[in-house]
Amino acid sequence: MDYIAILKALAPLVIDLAPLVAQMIASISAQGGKDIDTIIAETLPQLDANEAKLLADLAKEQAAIAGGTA
Amino acid sequence: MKRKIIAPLILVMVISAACDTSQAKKAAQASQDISTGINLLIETKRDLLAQGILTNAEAIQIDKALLDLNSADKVFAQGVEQFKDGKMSKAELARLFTSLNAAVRELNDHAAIVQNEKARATIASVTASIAIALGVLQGMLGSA
Repeated sequence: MDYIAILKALAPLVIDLAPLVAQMIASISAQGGKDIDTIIAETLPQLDANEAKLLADLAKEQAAIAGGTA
Repeated sequence: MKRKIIAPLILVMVISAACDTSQAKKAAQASQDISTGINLLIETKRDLLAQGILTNAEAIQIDKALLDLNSADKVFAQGVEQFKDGKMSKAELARLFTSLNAAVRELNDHAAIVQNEKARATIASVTASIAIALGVLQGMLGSA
């Protein structure tokens, strides 16, 4: 097996891709330590809480209009 | 000879998987930013009502638009989870983004017809933060 020949063949490819890989690593690092599962696990309960607040507000505001305090 | 072909293929597959993970994370973060923006707008709306510069009728319209946006964001967040697991394509996620985009437009339309100028400007400043998160998704999914 001519490993030197294989390395020589792969070298231009590695050199070409190096800036792209470096950019990707920098981009991923810049997004902080939280993983996707954690972000989604935080977001879904937030959205449920938003919905509960909105439904409560809606009922209150509709009652205010019905009671003539709009 | 086979190794010459296999090594670049593996490299391309690794880079592709990393790109998908990175995009899913950006999408998840944008979804969370929208959720935070909705919560902020609820608090802002309550404050404006308490000040008496937003009517109950206007508040109801904003509530309904926010409920639609909240539902669209929930479906989108669940879609991001499926996209991350390889159970949803980028094109399917882009379709969910279209619903999200429509819900934000609906919210902006209702916010624009608030009568009091101060209330309208305050609401617009909060909806701008939601628009920024939407812009991140537009850049990522707009061409899907």
